[in-house]
Amino acid sequence: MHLDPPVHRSPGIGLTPLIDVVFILLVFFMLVTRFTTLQQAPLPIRSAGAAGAEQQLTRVHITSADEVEMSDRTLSLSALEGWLDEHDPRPLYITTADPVPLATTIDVTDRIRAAGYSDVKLALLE
Amino acid sequence: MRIASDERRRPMLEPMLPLINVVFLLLVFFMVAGHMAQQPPVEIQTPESDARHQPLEDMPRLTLQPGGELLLDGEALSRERLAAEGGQLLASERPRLHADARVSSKALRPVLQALRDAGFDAIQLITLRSES
Repeated sequence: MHLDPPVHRSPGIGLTPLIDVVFILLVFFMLVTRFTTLQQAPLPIRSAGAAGAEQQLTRVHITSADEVEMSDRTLSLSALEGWLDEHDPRPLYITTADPVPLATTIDVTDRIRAAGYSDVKLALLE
Repeated sequence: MRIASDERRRPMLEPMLPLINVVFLLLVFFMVAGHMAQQPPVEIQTPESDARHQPLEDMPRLTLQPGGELLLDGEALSRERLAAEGGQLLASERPRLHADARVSSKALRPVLQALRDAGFDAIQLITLRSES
């Protein structure tokens, strides 16, 4: 009796499950991936009493989104940058009017720090 | 006599290969270029900042909502309790505060005062690095 030799078939590994998994991974990473960066900005706090006691500190009072008061003058934010550039950096503290949102406070703080004023504190005064 | 056409003999996978390649490339891009987003317990509009600070590694525990509601790990926290037990609750030298960009100074000030009463003279404010 003549028997045919067994046919050797290469075991085929289906790529379909792999592609499925890759698609699922892709969707997962697209949903959970974020390209923006959160950061933690240090913000020293001054109590109301301490801020009032130290008269040598410069006070920057934020009255609105585009205006601040310094000593006896009112400045726009762009004018504030000019004022900061003209003076030597010195310790100063920031106070804010009640309606001023946090975004404005951070904006002003960034501008002051960018001008070289590293010693900036947020005072708990209105 | 039937002759199988070339179309039938061609494996089905072949026309899919460019798609698979693109999908692989997209997958690698998202894995390399991005990083995992950590969701805050509530919807918070993070304030933007031009300054460069230390990147945030894990989500802060303290959250301040636009209306002034204070949350610790997603649970409401009174300012009185924060002032009294803040040191134990937060166990940090500089507590990280994730405050909404719209929160007013009137709402923010009492929270900072409570943190000050708890013994903290500085906080870490969470901001979104603006790419401009």
